[in-house]
Amino acid sequence: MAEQSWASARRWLYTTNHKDVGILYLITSIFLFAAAGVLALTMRTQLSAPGNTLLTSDIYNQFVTVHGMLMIFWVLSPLAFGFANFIIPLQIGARDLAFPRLNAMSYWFFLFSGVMMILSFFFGAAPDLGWTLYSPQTAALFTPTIGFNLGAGALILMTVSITMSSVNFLVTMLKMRAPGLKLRYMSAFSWAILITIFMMLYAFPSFLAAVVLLYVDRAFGTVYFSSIQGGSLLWDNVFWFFGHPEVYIVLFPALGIIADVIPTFARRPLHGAKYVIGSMVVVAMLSFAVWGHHMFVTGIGIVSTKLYTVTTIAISLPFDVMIISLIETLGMSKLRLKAPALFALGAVANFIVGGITGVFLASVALDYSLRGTYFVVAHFHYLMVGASIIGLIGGLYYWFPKITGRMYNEKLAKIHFVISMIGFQILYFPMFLLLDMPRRVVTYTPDTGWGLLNLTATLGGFIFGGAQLLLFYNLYRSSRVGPPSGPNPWEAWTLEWALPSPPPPHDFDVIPTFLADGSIRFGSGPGLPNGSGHSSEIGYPNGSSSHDGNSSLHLEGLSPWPILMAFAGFIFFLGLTIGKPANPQPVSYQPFWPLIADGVILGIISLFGYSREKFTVHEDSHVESWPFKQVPNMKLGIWTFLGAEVIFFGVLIGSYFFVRTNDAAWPAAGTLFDIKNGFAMTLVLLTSSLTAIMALASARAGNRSGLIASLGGTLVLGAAFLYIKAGEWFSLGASNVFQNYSLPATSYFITTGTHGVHVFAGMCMTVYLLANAIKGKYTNGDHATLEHFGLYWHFVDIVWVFLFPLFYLI
Amino acid sequence: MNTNYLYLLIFAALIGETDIEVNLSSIIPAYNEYVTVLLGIAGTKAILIAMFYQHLRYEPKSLSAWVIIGLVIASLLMGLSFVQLHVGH
Repeated sequence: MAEQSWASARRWLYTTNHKDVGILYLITSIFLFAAAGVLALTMRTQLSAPGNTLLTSDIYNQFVTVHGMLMIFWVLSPLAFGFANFIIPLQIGARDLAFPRLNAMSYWFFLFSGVMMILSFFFGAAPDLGWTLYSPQTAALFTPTIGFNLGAGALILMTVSITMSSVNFLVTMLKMRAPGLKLRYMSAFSWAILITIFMMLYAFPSFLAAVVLLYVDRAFGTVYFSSIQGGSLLWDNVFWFFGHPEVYIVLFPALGIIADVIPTFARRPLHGAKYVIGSMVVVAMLSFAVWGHHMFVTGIGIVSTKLYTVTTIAISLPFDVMIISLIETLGMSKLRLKAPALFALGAVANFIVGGITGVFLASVALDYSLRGTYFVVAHFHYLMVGASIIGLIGGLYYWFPKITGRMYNEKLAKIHFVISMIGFQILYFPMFLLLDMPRRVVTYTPDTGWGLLNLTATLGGFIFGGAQLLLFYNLYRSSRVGPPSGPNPWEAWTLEWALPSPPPPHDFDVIPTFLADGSIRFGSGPGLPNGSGHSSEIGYPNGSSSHDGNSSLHLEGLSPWPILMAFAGFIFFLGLTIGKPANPQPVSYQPFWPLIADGVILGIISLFGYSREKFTVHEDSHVESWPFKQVPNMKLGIWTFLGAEVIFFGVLIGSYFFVRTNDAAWPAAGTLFDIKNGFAMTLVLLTSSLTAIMALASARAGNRSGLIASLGGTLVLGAAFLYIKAGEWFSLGASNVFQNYSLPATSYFITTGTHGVHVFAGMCMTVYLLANAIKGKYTNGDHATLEHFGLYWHFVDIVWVFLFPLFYLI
Repeated sequence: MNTNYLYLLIFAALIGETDIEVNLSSIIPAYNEYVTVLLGIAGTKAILIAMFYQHLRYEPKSLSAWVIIGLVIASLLMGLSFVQLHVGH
């Protein structure tokens, strides 16, 4: 019995299988959905009557903030990631994600980041300024709690998780599609996830940079967000540059589900599918040019306000295309009103209301009066809950049979839908009428006249919240005793339904082939129509792949290192953020070194174990991989990661530009940072790039001694760079540079410090490579790792190529 | 050309450009023009490293496009923030 329990625990703790990881994401995010819901209902109870004293303002503010953060970062996206993990490889005909262990690590980082955010309640106070964390209230002077730092640490961990997932999914979807599955034939859900991940890759590094800047401000007394030149406007830019794409990041997976569910239940292909996908692509591109509409009241200038008004209105137009397409799909159809279809339709209705009210806010005049009111709260909850959560719940019902192999209780699901929709409208519609009630207030006086509408909203909140208990009960009960669903209860057309429910661990006995006539073939069997729209015949897969494949393809795929590495990261950041304040004014934190040391040691052990573990991922050569056919998976992964790094350093450099061009009293070149030092570091780093490329050239030529010498040279030059940099840091630190030049010192220390950390990370990789090279690796045609390292090292060099002139020469 | 010579040639170009950067202020005294040329030189150094040391020159064009997307998005942030601060007030 005990052995069986351990085997089960071991499976879930060590799994790298995409379906297991998907289930972990789904269950965790459902639990956190419940936790965030409890916070929301407590807040609604507080607001149900004027002058209520259930919550103090401090606690209320913490509840508002953590509720928002949990819902956005730890519920909406992870719920979508749960589906993406389980379904995407099945839909595109891949056996797993490109990097299974990285995928498991993403989940554990996500889980530990959520734990850390909740822990923040127990360390003074959780973050309490709203999920937007507006500066300068976030300065340590105004919020001197350790809990706030802990929250920042949680956000950093969460962003690391997201970045790993983004790289993994992009490589998988671009490089591992089944033969014949061209991008244009992918399902709407797959497309929605691909575009979502693309936005995540480029939006989250901005958030990571923003939180890193914020944390350093709080912990070390730098002044990016407390200076006049940076301050609130700088935070607004770096936050909303991430924050607005984030709206679409949480919305698109639900839209993808809706666009898969409605055709299935309407028994018609998605009308104008290519226009729907095209619209999503347009939204993704425009999403990076609309963030300024969150800043209309900050005085950003008339040209900017006009520009953002135009882009914001423009971004609403592709959504019209999507809605019209869904309506056209429904037209003349024989819609089967099963629970997934009901939730999809409900989500579309809510989305229309939420979307239209959002267009109101593109108007500068309306935005001036509606900004920061409950109208805005209603608008974004219609999108985030009404469209996104309702759509994702539709996905839960839709794929529940595939995930568990059992059917849920349809009647209960329909009751859940009706009560949810009624509760939702009673909860949020009154908020549209609270045009003059500011958001994030703990209470109000009776003479405001807001009491009745708030009471109504609270009533709706409890109806909506109570309805979700039906969902939890239904899913739990049905997963144990529901009737067997069979492989394809919905007679759906996408590939996952061609597999047994639940699918076997290895997914496919034989990788299917998508044929030009729109059918799918398993092995030598006949093709099965996939309903992708270019077949005149609509048929149904029989739900079983042909079993002429090799069952030895079933790989156990357990690894302890992902969870250990994530745990190392967790305790490292815990140590970094829970230290006691060294002195209260200004607050600066002393890290808790024992935990940091534990995190570093465990991290090194895990990294060592991870790199030594024999974990083979096969790279099929015959798969569909346009437009990166010639690029190996790992190389594409490294380049994709470097794309995120471009944004990260772009934000750091952009922040420097921001304060620099906003400050007339910046010291002249050469007065603060010694040009000779900068020149010497540049020479050293450029030379290290030469030695790194010579190491690769030596490996290719089979020259082992040349390889070792070149790698050794790279290591020594990296160390020399850091030695000069450290000398400069100590010298500047001793010269009271912060007192006299706080902003130049802030930008210098943060930007070069972050770059220095990258150099150090590169040196750690070099040590590993050197050790392997001494053992004789890399000179027998196995030099890919060296090439991948080089991509990173040269990127770090490129960053310095810009930092040198920016900090030393201008 | 032997690739090792090519790498050395690129290295020489990078060092030469760095040398020009350090002495540029004496050649171009006007500040705005100086900064523009300086960043231009940094850009060419970055391109040389990316093309020859990171081998983008020999990779499929789609990979270069993939890299450029990140640069475009980062430039968008910097460019539009600059407009906010300095245009139309």
